[in-house]
Amino acid sequence: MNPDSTPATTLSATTLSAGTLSASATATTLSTSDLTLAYGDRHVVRDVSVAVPPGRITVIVGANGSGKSTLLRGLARLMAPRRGSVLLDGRDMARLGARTLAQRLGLLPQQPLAPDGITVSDLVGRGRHPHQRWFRQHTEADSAAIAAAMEATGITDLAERPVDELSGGQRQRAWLALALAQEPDVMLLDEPTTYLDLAHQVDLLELLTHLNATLGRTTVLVLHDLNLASRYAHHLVAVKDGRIAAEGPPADVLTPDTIESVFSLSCAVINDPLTGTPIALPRPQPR
Amino acid sequence: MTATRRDTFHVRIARHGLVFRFSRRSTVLTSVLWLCAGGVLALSLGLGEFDLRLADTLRVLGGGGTLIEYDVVVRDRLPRAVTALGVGAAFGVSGAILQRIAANPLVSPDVIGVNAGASFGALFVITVLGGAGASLVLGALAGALLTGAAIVLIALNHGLSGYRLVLVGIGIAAMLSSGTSYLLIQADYRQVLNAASWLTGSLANRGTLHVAVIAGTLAVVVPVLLVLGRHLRVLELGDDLSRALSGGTRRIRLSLITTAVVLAAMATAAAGPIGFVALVAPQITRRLLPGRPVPLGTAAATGALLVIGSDLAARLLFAPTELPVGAVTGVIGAPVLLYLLARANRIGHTG
Amino acid sequence: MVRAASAVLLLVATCVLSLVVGTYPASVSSVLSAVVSPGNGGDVDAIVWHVRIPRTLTGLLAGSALGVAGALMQGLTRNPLAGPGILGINSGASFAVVVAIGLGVTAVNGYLWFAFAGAGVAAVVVYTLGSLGGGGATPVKLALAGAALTAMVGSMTTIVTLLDAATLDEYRFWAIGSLTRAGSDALATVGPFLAAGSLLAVAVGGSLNLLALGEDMARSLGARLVVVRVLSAVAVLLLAGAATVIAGPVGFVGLAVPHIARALTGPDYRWIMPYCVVLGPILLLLADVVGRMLVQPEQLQVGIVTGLAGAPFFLYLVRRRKVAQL
Repeated sequence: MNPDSTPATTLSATTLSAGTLSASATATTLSTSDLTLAYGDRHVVRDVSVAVPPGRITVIVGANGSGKSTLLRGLARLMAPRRGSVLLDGRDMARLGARTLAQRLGLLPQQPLAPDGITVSDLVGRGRHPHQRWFRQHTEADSAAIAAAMEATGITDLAERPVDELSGGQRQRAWLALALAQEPDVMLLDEPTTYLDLAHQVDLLELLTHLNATLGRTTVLVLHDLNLASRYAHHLVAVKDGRIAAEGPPADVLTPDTIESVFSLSCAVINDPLTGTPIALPRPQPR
Repeated sequence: MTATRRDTFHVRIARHGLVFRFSRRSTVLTSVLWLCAGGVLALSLGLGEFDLRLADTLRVLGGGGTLIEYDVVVRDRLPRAVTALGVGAAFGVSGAILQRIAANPLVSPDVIGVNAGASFGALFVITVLGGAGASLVLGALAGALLTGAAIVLIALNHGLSGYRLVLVGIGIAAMLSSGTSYLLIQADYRQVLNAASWLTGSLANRGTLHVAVIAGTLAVVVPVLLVLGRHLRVLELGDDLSRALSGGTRRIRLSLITTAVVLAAMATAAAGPIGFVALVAPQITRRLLPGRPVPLGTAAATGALLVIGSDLAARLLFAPTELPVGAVTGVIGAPVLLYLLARANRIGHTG
Repeated sequence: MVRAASAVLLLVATCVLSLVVGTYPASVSSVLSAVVSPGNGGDVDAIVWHVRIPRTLTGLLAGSALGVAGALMQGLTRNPLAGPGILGINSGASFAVVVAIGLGVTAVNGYLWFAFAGAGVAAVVVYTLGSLGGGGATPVKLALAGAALTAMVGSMTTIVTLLDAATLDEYRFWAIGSLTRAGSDALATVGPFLAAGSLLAVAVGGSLNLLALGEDMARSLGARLVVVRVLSAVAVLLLAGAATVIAGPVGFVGLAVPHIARALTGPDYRWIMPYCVVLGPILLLLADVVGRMLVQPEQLQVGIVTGLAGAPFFLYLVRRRKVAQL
């Protein structure tokens, strides 16, 4: 399943009619304006203005230490901007309440902690927290969302298993299910394919594509693998030294010149015979 | 990465093919701390009810001076100060080892019950057997070592995880301190006063016996740690990785924990359960050398400086009344740690 | 469900035991009839209403408060070694009591407000110190600040008691937890604090579950870290402070009970805390009952027995189960 052959294009924000889909009837816009993020006096993201296309899959790529994960943390409001702002539907995110934001925006961090002995269903259930109140601790909607999330990630059979006994791929799926159960309009995922073998990586990305196509959920991923990024992204953002080096459809971004400048890697770019998306092939280094 | 590499230097003893790796910053810091400790030692030999100038102190140490001066400096203050240095170093190293193995800054021999064992043993000798002096040292030693052995044996279920060790230690410590409380309540008033001072950790009336106990311990343990210490770098990476990198983790872990327990036991036997030093010395060290594991040598220096400084304060603060050193380590060590904690905003969440 | 029901049944049985067992020989039926129809003026009536009921109530209140406070503290710091003592509550209260003794306060109820004030000041100082620097009150900084302040105030307490022998003699009895010192008026005084603390504990339970997933995950699920931390700390202060006031510095219960609860019910704080409410008093009251029987006609203070009796069970759990790493 590649983006071009799925009906994803028909699910863009304008054509998404209310009522056909449960989540995000109108796709949410997420953007930054002159965003600068810093740890102490070290500026990691500098003056970035980027608009995440609503209802599409955006993939952020970049070299190690380029600031791509930090940018994602900034988008999730895990870091307060040093300068500039992050806008959700045009409103400054800093002004949103914690619960309101959590209902609209979910993040899967690189290395979340699973408390020892927690079962899969309990873990996934914790994703429902933003929808629960002290006077309404559990509703049918919660059960439905948890069941749907586990169904979608194929872990229904594992519901009562402790998370620490799962394999890496199963565990990653459980975490993804948590993020799905949260039912946010925008999902941010920080390198969700780490620790997975190629088959599981593809599975996970196919799943995200499928969810994006059926629910129209805006999705932002940080990925390391350029070719997977190229295949699954609608929109590719290349980050270098805390700034946007290039952005646009993979076919426009994934050029030998951009790769050379962003990754300092000399590449040839060919078209994927299966999907038509660009593939970067590193040139053998002269010895 | 490059910074760390530049910071490292190697000492080669070519004839024997020995190579030791040192870090510049920690070596400098360690030397500075030991120099400070030496300075406090010189001070504490001269200061007190019988004041001596530094020159006089040195003269007495060189064999000159009157009989009284010799008595005060060499027979009374010197063993005390040397015990303080040794005990402080032992506690510092013991705490550093345990904290690194358990990857938990709250772990120390006091927490896992070694001190409680020593206290119970010593209190048993004081209140039930009516002993003092060498039998007190023996009682404390027996208590601490038995406790240490019990903790390790009970925790030795499926492999010796640092985590289980700590929880078992807490349980045992709770039992022992209950026992201690019981003995204290049963004891008569004079024994309680006597015991209270010992239970706080005191360096008063230390003699060659105590110096021998702690010096002998360090003489045995330091070479052991020169060999085993480097495994800590691997052990703190967690069970799986450390097994891959160093094979017989279990035996190494066990020997390191045993070493830490023995150090704390001997130090407690020599000076009583001086609290907080083993917890705070590695933590202060860690914040003086941010971004790297706590070197054992530096933790030893920090501990030694803390104990000898506290002892000097304990002697002078309410003179002529002398406080036990353990009552002062908290007052002196805690503000240092709190200051460093508040200052360390760079390493905020890793602490 | 079966577990929860049997725990509650065990608690009821423990309460009955605590009412029945004692130095004064009273039959079960006479005790129960005194409970049901008070005011018939007999010896049993006086003992039950003036000694055993306050004692049992103290155990119930202090035990559940310490258990819940321990669970909160462990959730807040994500450190299995954290008990309510980490916030400096025991040491602060102890120091204040030593000061009160030094000032010549003698009535047990006179210590009450001193202890509470001491606990409060210590908790505020620990929390403030733990929040300094970057990142707010992170688990490691909070734990270390607590340990440091505990050591410092403990040292000060030691210094005062060593310099003043009369204070030491008085203080050594206060310093061992006991269920016999609080009368019904003292219990009534701390009641509102316990109620407020319990409400707060219920309110933050869900957020502690999120905190267990790591700070990033917790925030993206809508937890307000600062609010959760402050509310938890206030709840711990109210609960553990009140418990220390009525029973003295009882160690171990606050640390061990949450671990036992976690072993029984799993990592969900919304379950761990109700279990703590039940398990804490069981441990404390059983220890108290054992203390009454062990060295008759004297009695062992509960602070001594909790360690002796609770620790083996704790060790058994730790050894048998795969203990939960927080």
